Amino acid sequence: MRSKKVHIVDIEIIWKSINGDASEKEIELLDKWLGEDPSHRMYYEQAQRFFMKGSSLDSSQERLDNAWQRFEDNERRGSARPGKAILVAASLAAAVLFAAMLLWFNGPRKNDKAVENEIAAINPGTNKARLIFEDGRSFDLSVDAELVMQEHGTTIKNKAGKLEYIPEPGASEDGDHKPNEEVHILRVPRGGEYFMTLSDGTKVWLNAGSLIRYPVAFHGSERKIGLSGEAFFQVAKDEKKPFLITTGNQVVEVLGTSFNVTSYEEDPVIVTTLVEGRVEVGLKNNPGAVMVLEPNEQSRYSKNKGELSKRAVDPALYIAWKQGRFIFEEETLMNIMTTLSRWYDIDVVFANEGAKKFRFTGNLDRQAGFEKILKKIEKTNEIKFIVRGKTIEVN
Amino acid sequence: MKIEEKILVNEISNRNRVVFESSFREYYFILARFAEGFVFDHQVAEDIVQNTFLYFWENTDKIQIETSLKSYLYQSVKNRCLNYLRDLHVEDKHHFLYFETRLNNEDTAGWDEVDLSDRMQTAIDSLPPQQKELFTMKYVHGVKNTEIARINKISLNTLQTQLRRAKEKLREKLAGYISYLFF
Repeated sequence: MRSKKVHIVDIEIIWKSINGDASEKEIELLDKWLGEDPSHRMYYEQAQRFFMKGSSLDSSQERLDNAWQRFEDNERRGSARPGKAILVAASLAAAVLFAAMLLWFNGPRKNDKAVENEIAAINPGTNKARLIFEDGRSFDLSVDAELVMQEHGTTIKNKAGKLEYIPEPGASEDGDHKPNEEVHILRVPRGGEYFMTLSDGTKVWLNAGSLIRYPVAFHGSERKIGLSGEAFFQVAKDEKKPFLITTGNQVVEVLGTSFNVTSYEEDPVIVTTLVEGRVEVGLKNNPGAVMVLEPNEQSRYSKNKGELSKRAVDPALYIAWKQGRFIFEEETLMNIMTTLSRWYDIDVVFANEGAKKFRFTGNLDRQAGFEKILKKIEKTNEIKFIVRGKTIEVN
Repeated sequence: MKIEEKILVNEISNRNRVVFESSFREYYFILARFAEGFVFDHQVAEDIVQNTFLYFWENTDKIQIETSLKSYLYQSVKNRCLNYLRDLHVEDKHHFLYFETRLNNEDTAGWDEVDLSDRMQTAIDSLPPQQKELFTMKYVHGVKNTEIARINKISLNTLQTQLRRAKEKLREKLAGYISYLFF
């Protein structure tokens, strides 16, 4: 008989890993724990989602009425037992599966039509984001949401899909005005993108599934922000105050320049691509490893190896998303599907493992319907996509 | 225990269903959001809250409420959440989840005292004395803002500024330790 060793992880390790801060040893433990049971991976994914998107609790009156209704049903059915939460979840999952099977068996004739309809429901991303204040207040931002407010000498304005921080003219750090040290978070969900201007005039384009943390006003000798996901920066020049972007284990230091950073938690690399100016890429855990990038250069930080390397690239490929295009050059299908899944907010399953390594080249419109994009990829190779709701199976 | 609380708890243990239902409706979402900060899945969080209420309603005769209904409910939801984590082989040794949920929640009255890890305590100890005092009252003991301001003879505005500065300092102290918590 084989005795199974149980691995216990601390929530600290989970947070660190989501932030890209976990050490090699911690990742090793985490991987063992993740492999132990599917419920562990589910918890991890929920933690990740919660970190990116916050609460998904809908606190409407209707939901409360339903909750009370459910309470009365449970009461009639008998006493509550510990662990019932999981049983309920399991039976829910079974019900969904059963419903899915019913659909599957009842509808083979109409299949083509059904698939078409389902694809029609998958739309390209739009301008949307959630702004979160330190005190817990939060605001859903979009093209239509107008917002103007005054917070200790800074005007925060959202209009026509653009968020702006405008310092009050003449507001200084001394005198009776207390410096505003508040930190805000802007979260862009999957299927979204957003544009914002920080209080120093730096412009930031955020891609789908990204998060940026920044102070309302920049005090002190540095301008420090945090990023997770992908963003293009046009940093306002201020030679006295360097601009620092922390993302996972990497820190990018700049004075004034434009560049793109791709640092999704689930990606194995952090990619920094310089368009103009000059940046210094460093590592939090290794102050000695500093790499200077010149225009048309790209640094790649491998999270597994802990190594930083650079190469010459055409930056246009890496900032195409900002111009509303997807440009892929000899890119693997796996990476392409990851990019598409963020923008169209879909899940991808590879039934054919080998297909992950197929390579494609193409220039596609980000505003195109998803169906069109799939057809273009299907045409070029022996790949078939099966669409089920928001899940795409690659065959 | 306050007199209103006593009446409330008494009514429920006498099976006053109207009073119970209004308590359910008042606390359901607060508790579900609290639980979500531990389990991250809103469905699981809601199930935990449902079971807490069900257990409470079916055992009112056996349950002794010492402080307030709200603090009893928070405590039971928290215990159920920690059991759920235990089954998943997840630990919260430094009480991060509890502390985090607390820092994000304005209404901390009725909450349980936070057990601080040594690291967190050392960071709090290094704050200037007044900030340390105010921060501890608010986030460790869960005293209401108005009450803290009254005791310390300061305005609410000053209190909020001091708390914000304290958080900012802690964020610096604990930088790289757990960025989610304070950044």
